[in-house]
Amino acid sequence: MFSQECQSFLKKAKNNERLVDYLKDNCRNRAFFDWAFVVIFYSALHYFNAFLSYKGKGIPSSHISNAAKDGRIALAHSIFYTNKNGIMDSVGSDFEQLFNWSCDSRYKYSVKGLLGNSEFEAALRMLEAIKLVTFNEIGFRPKKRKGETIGFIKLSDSYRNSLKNIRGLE
Amino acid sequence: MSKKQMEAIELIRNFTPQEFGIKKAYYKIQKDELELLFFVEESKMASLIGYIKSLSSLLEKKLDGVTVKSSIYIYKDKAKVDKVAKDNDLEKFDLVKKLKFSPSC
Repeated sequence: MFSQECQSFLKKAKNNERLVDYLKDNCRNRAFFDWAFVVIFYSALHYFNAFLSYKGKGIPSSHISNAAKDGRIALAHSIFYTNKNGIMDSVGSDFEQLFNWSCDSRYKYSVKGLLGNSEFEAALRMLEAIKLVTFNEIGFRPKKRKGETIGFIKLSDSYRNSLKNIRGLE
Repeated sequence: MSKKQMEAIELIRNFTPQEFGIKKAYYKIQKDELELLFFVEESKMASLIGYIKSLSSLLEKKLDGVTVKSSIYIYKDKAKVDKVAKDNDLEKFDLVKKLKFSPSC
């Protein structure tokens, strides 16, 4: 069973993913489409927060480390991985890259022109990896239909195959 | 440029060869931060992100006091990359073709 806090982070991540889907389907050629990179990062951030909450770790107050504390990026590099149910993967690098692209999109006018459809598709794959690592580690089982859950072995196989596909291993 | 930053640049150059799918790479030095931009082949993106971030992280540990910030983009066209390099005063890496191994490796 997840804590209220963990569940609320998962819900927020999913809400942000819905906005990504909306932007993808309706706004690909609009000038503000670069904001999709920001929304993808904030969806990833809430998956990471759910992961941290499940592990009983404190939620960092900033992305970047300071003299006293590790920031969210450094923490992702050190603990954002899974090694259970026959699935091993780490997503700290993906998380940092999504952060960098979200900063490019918001603050770096001269660089944001580099962010096109290819980077967007790559960012979606990174978000999917982050979600799968989080689900596998915290044991989240999405509901198939109302009241029905997907079998555990089938779900693990599906996570493993999706991650292999994202990493280009199949 | 400090001695540590020079060392970092030389190490990155030697460990990011073109054979890995890196088409172009640039750097910019700002105080204690070394900013790196890599332009890579689309098919190699997934594997290179992990590799380049790990390399940056190792360099930070080896060269205490230098922050290395790396970002990766898919190489599309030369003109766009050249314009970004010019607009941001980026220095170009002279990439090696293949990974070099020193006798001590």
